[in-house]
Amino acid sequence: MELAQRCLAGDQNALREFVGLFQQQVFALCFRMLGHRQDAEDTAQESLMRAVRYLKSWDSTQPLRPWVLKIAANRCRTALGKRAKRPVSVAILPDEGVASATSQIGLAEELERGLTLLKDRQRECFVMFYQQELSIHEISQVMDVPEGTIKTWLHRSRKQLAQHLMLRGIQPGST
Amino acid sequence: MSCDDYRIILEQSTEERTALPVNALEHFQSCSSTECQEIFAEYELVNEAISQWKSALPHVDLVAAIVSDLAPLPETSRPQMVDVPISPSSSRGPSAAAVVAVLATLSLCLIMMVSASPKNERNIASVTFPAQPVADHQSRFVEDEDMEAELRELGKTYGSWVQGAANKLTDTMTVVLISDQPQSPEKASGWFSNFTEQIEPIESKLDETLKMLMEQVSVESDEQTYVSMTVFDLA
Repeated sequence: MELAQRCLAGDQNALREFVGLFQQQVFALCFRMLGHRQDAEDTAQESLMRAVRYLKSWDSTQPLRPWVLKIAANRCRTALGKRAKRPVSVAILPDEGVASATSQIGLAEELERGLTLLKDRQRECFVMFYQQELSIHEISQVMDVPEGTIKTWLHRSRKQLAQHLMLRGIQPGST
Repeated sequence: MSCDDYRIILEQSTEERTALPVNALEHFQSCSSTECQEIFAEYELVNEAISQWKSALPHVDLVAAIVSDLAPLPETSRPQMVDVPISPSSSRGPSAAAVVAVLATLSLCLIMMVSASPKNERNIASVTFPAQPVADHQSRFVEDEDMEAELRELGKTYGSWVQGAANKLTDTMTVVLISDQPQSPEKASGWFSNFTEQIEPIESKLDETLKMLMEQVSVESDEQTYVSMTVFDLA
């Protein structure tokens, strides 16, 4: 809250601190939602600028992080609405037959692929829960849906992702 | 506890991000139920994938970009627009289309300005007319003259904008072509004269439109004068 007040007062150092505090989280959400680094950077930048510009509308009785992530989530939805979904290519795929040395990259990549198969809202929910580690209550506030819906989405996402990984031949304990 | 109870515990520990209680863990590791085995296998697999996926995230630093965008900057330090090199062999480059779009926007603005302000002023004038008919007629005549002068000024401004845009494009072509292939400044000039020929019909159309608008304005102001004078006569 003190940081927000200093930002509103025009303190440049506070502004840097604010951006530094949230940039990785906002970028992570945008990157997971959009699946493209450049788009994610652009959307993250736009989100943080909006957060700074509209900081005076933030309810100081509520935590700041979900509010900032809500802005980012809205920007991501706008960006997704503007373009067709593209396949995710966040890491170089390991060659067929190369096993243990690249298995760690392979599993993350496979999960990322699986995420692209989820509906946008489900993916957003999953990313906020596991990447941003928001609580179910916080996610329900950010996404404006009941907590029960969030739980359902998380459950379905895990189920779908597990099925996707198993279809790709990945078994628990094999990596 | 039943298998269903343990599955509920598993679901709760997932939602609360807590470790699975030891008794639940032992149940799933030893239970012969196919459903329990599948649920636990999915649980472990997804958790393992998530832990690797979370760490596989590129780092980003947006502080400088955001702070500079939010602070007011002098003109010179703003990012410069990148001039896209245009192939000299192309008969009609993308810049011509951009200039045409600019011209279309300008003409639209002109039309909106003409249609908006004078009508409002006339409406206001017609409401106050009966009180002092002669003075209002004279003031409207002056307003019409001012408007025509304004339109002429706008026409001149528009012409100079077009010229400026064309000059800028020619300079760009010259710089790009000289830096890459030094043989074609003549082609760039030739392109400009071609461009002038291409833009000429648009210019004449816009001139016609402007003249038509000015005539329309004059006709309407005459009609207003006629109506108000008729009212005045009747009164």
